[in-house]
Amino acid sequence: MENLVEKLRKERGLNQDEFAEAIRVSRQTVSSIERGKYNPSLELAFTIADFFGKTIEEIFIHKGGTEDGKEKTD
Amino acid sequence: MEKKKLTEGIIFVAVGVVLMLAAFLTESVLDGIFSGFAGGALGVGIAIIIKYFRWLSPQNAEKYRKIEEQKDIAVHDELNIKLRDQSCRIVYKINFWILCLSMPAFSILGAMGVIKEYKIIVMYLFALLVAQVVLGCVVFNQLRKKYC
Repeated sequence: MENLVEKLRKERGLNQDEFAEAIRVSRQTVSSIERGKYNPSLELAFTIADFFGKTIEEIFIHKGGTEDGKEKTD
Repeated sequence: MEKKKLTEGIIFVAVGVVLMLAAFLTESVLDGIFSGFAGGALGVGIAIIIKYFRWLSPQNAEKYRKIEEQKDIAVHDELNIKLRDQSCRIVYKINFWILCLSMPAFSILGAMGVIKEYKIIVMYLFALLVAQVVLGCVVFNQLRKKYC
C-alpha cells in the first residue's frame, strides 16, 4: 500500500532509527512500510497517524483513493 | 540489570555443581551425560553472573538499558512476529515431509540389513508425526476458541 510515511518522516527531520524508536518498532519495519512492502496493523497505523497528527486515510493511500483523499472515478 | 538474572546464574551454577558431583562421585553409565550437562550448566551460569556484574557498573547502566529496550522492541515488533509465525508454518510443513519420507527410508534400510534396530526408529518417527499433527489441531482449536 502506498503511503506518505517517508515524506512525513523527512519533513520532521527524523531518520528511520529515530522514527522506529519513537513508534516502538524495528527500523526494518519502518523501511518495509515506507517501501510499501508491508502494511502495518490497525494499531500501528493509528500509532503512526497519531505521531504525525494526521488521520490514517491521509497517510495510507488505499486502492481507488488518491493522495488528496478524493475518490478516483473511471 | 535485574537481580533475578543473578539468581538465574546462581541456579545454573548450582545445578552444574550438583551434576558434576553426581558424575564424579557415582559410578554409573550416565556419568558422561552428567558431565556434559554439568559443563553446559556451569558455563551458562558463570556467563550470566559475569554479565550481571559487568552491566551493574554505572558507566554501563545506560548502555545496557538501551540494549534491553532494543531487544524488547525487536521481540514485540509486529513484522518480526509475523515473520516468525510464517517461518514456523513453513518449517512445520518441511518437518512433516521429512518425517513422512524418513519412515519408508529407515524401513528400506532395515529390510536391507543396513540398520538393525530400524523398527524402533520407525515407530518413534511415526509417534512424532502423529504428535505433530494432533498437537497442531489442538493448538489451532484452542486459538480459535480464544479469538472467536
